[in-house]
Amino acid sequence: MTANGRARLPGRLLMRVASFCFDEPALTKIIQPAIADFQREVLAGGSIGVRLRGYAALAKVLVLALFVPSAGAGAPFTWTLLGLNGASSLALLSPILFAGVCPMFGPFVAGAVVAGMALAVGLHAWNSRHPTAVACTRRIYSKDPEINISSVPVGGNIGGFFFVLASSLTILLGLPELRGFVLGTVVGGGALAWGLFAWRRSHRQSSVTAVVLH
Amino acid sequence: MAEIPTLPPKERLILELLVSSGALYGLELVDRSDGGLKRGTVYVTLGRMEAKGFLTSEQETLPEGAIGLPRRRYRPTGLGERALRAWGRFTQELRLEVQT
Repeated sequence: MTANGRARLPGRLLMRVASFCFDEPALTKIIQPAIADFQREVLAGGSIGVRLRGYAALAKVLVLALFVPSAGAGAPFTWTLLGLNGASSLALLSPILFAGVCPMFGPFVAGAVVAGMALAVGLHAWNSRHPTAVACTRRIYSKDPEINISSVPVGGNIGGFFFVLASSLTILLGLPELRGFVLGTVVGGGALAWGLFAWRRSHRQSSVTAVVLH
Repeated sequence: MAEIPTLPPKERLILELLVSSGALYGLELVDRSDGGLKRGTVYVTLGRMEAKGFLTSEQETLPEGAIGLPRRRYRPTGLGERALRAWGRFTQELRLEVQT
């Protein structure tokens, strides 16, 4: 084969493009063998039909390698979606979720997006000025994307207040017929909290004594 | 407890072809499978089987002046051969058990 033949050998550009999309194992174990076999087929005198079938097969190989993690390598799209980059996955999935429910809950979705972003900015600003220790579960270090409520400090602090406020507002906006119930739980919860606070304050000394004596 | 390796039909077919032929390229496997394997999916299956330890592969050494990318040749590992034998025994036992 001449230099002209080398230029016409299929798959060289594809290999170059693939090198930007896939990691080394995927390139050497999946993409390159497929292209190499195809090139050998063409060098052996493959017709137009063989070339077309080869290109179709290569397209399938590329798509599978992009999405199938069980291939043992690569799958960059799947890894991105499933968790190697959890934050970007959530950033990608959130608009999809909102777009999906928008036709049914249009104004509610718009309100939730605006309120959610405002709350996120507010929480971030507050937390930057008042950094607190955040509970870490075992899975917090994994790359899987997750909304882990147990990692959010929702105790008797500003985080807990926002959590309760956001939950109540969500129910009020989504299910306005339950406003009486929400109001009742807020009043009842507030009264219970005040009662607990007052009782613990008055019994603090005796509790400590009991623990020490025990 | 060690995880039991699975052996789906396509992987079984590949192992059967490799055990009977020794070492083959991806397209040779497709050609010999009589339609059982597709060239668009065989490389992904081969990659998965290599990750499972059922087969091993090596890149061919191209002679001086040759053009094109080097091909990859696959051969079964001991684990792959044992898994295939075990599957054969399992299906035989199952058939006997069901028929009696």
